[in-house]
Amino acid sequence: MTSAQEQGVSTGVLTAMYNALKSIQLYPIENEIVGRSLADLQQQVDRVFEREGGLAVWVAGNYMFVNDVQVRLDLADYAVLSALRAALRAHGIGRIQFEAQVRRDEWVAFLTGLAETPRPGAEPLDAFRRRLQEAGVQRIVVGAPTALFTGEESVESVEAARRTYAYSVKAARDVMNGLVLGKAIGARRAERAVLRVVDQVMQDRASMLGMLTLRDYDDHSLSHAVNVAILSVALGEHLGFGRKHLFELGFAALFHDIGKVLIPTTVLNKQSWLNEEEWRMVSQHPDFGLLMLFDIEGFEEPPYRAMLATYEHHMKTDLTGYPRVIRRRRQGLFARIIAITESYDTAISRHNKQYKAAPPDEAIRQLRESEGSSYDPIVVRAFVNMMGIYPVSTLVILDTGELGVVVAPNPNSEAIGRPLVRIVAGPDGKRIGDGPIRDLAETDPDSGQPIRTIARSTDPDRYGINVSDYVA
Amino acid sequence: MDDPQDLTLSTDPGSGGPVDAVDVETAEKIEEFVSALLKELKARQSYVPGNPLIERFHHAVREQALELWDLIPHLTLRIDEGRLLWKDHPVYDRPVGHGNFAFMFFRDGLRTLAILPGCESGELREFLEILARVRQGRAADLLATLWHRDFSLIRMEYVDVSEDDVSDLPVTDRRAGEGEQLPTGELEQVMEAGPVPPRYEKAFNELRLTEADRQYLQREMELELDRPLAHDVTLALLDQFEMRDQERRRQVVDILRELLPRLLREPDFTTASLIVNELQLLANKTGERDTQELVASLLRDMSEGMAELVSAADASEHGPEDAEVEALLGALQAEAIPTLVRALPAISDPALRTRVEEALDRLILRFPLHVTRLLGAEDPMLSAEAAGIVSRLGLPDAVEGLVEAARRPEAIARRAAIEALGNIESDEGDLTVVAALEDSDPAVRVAAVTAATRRDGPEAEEAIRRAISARGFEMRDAGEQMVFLKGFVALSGDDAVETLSELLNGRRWWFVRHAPSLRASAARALAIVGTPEAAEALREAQDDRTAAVADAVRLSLRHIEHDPDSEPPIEGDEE
Repeated sequence: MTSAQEQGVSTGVLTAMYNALKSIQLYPIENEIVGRSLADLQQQVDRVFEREGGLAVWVAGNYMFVNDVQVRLDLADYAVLSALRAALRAHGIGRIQFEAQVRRDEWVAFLTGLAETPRPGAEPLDAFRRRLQEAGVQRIVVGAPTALFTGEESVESVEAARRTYAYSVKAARDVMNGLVLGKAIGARRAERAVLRVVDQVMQDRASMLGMLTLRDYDDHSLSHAVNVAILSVALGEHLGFGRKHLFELGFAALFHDIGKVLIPTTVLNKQSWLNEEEWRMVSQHPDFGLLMLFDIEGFEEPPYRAMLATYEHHMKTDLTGYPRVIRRRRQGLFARIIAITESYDTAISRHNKQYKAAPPDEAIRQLRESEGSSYDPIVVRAFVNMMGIYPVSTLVILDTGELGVVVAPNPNSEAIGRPLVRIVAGPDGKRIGDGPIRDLAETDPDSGQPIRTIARSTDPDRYGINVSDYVA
Repeated sequence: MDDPQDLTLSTDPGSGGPVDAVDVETAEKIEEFVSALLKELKARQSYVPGNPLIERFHHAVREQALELWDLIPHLTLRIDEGRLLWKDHPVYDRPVGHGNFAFMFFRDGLRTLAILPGCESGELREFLEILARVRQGRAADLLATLWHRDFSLIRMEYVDVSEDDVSDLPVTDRRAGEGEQLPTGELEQVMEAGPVPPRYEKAFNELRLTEADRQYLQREMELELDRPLAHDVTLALLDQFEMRDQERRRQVVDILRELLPRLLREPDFTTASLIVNELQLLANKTGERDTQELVASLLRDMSEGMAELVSAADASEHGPEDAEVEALLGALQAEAIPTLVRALPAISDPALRTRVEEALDRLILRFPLHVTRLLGAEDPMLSAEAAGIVSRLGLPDAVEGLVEAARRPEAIARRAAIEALGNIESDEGDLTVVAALEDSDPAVRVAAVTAATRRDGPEAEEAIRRAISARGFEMRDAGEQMVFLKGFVALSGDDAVETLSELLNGRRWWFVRHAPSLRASAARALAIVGTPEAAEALREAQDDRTAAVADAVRLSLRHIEHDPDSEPPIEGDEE
């Protein structure tokens, strides 16, 4: 089959799927139009099966694939495929595996589920899977998006993430500098930065998480702000937040420490323990943040949710933190999320001679152990679920003796300790340039046992490895 | 940068294929659709929502869209600087400038706009509303606004128009250190340790979210989304106010100064009244003069902005709770007086009107100077409203202001001032009322007669006598003549008969009789006097040849002779 034919078949099947989705949204199932669109979809799918023996649809970052062939989109297909991709993304679906002879009721269950808005608070993919299971759908299997760090696509995706990261750091810097200088601060650039972070996280969470390794390339407080925004948006997405609330969460996270601009840098960057007066100053940053966010202009209404998250992020769930609570309140969910993501980013960052940055897996372990004291234990668990036991950028030694860098969590949420790893050195200790990515959930067909397993994490400094080379 | 944030598109000029004959026809149809969109957009910019013209244009857009879907499955437009292109065919092409439709998208980074069937049923309307808001400057950032709205049938692709400089990001290199030999000690240790125990499955079981966890998260999410944000932020601000830091308090009060009018507009009376109550309590609790003055300054500012409260409360379906109104109105300062005076006539809810009126009266009694100042307000309506209030409350301090107001050029203000002076005892006021009997405006003169009658002074009686005897009096409206004559009777009593008889039966120069309307009015006024002398004067006119006069005489006589206890027949010429 020529490339053009392949493209025709691929776009045909995706267009038919979108048309069936729309008809199900607009008409009752019994309607003739629905029947026709389902028949057309089945026909397109049959064509693919006939030619290729199977059908899998993938969404990865900006790309859609049909049976591993990237669908080249031109303007004519853009509208339909963008809408289909948005629907899949809303449910956290990154891949769909179709088996032969999908029944009509299975198509209906799948498309009806896709047409509905995911319930907030539930991980959308899990909810979608449960729905398919309850409807007895066996011939359509859905999975999470995967990073597909295998070729040029990953380079572009990472490049887009880098641009978003750089833009966000600059936006944060503009706002913070403006506040220090007492200038009127417009929200536009910061707003753009956050919506780009949201889009990028939704397109390719792993590539954005990889940017955390670029920490300290600028003022620590700026990269910290952006890192916390990335982590918070990623966790929000994992929890099933819609775009609007991801934006609010990202905005809150980007400015959660804005109050620190009023604290002398000599105190913030002090290399030894803070004295009582210095600690008193630092612990006022949520108060300052609350008040300062009123100075940001350009919103139809004040960014109340960001103000609350900023104010409450150090309060702790039992309100024993700071600021002191006089009037009755409880720490909001956004503040609880930011408390966790901030803690994680602080643990993995080294901005102070006094502290040594923890490896990502160690930071995760610390969070797990702190469950229930300062942080909401269930939100911590959700965070660990999202990051995996070995988060992106962890340097690991595999039981094969290979050295690898975690580049993405495993799309299969059950393989929490089996991320995707780029091999950076062989068992002989020789470094490999642009090594392959291995899915640690991959099993040996004969034994059924995983081919590779993480034996332990290790310190990149020990090997002179800069992990950001592989994820950023 | 020019890397789209949405799907990567081939924007190669050939990607749309050759524009064949059918395409040209379709392109023309798309041009018509775009033109219909523009017309609706302009209508939305020019007319208030709900205007039938907007609906007419929207109907045209819908029709065009439906026709389009017969030709193409969806419409994807590429946005050039000043053009919209469909398959490289310009369907909108105008010089780049402020009003250019395509440029509006382009300058905000939008590069592709895709419109799918079904959008004409709802999303398209909202889309155009957003565009109109942006064009009118009511929404700043088109891209962000559209992004937040997240239409499902109108998709967009954008780039960031600002330069994305990543040059200062650390350079990364996947081939870094290729071929380099790393220390192998740790790797060997791992190999020697043998197979890794299967621990991940256990970890998964420990870490996975249970159904109960999911329900908890969902509940927490709902709580977060339902959170009364402004209220919770206010609580935080009030906590901050309690910090023993005057500068912090000042900051908080400055913020609340901005926040309060917004809360009243929204309306969020609960939070607004919370602020007012709590701040007053806190200010009293501290006992510090500075803090009390700070809070008082906030309440003064809030009082100036009371229009928000009144109009929001009046428009609100449920209205504020009693306690909330009490808190807010109770905290008002003198600065609220002008706003409330102005707002009072527009309040449609009678209960609210009464409460605001009561609050206003309380304020005016506390701060009478503020209302008298309003008598000199530039707005004559405001001056008139103020005069009405001082009249109702009978404020003696207001006389000076009322006398001034009675000299204003606007009749409405003069009239209200004269009416008010009729209710407040003062020599200066009485003189002003008397002078107003000669006012150029009939309504003011009528008010002056009423006021003068109420004041009951000899100067007033003499002035009315002069007025009704003046040459121009008979040229006045019959209603005004009657009011003057009634006033004259009220002040002169039985002594009025002579003058009235002269009006009814006497003759002017050249032996011409007074005008019939004036004679009829004099006849009715004599009925009010009701004495035998009055009856005598009426009998003298029994044969008046003017029917209207004869009727008035007949009715007046009947009243005096047969039914003196009934109301005198003074209401006009109906009978």
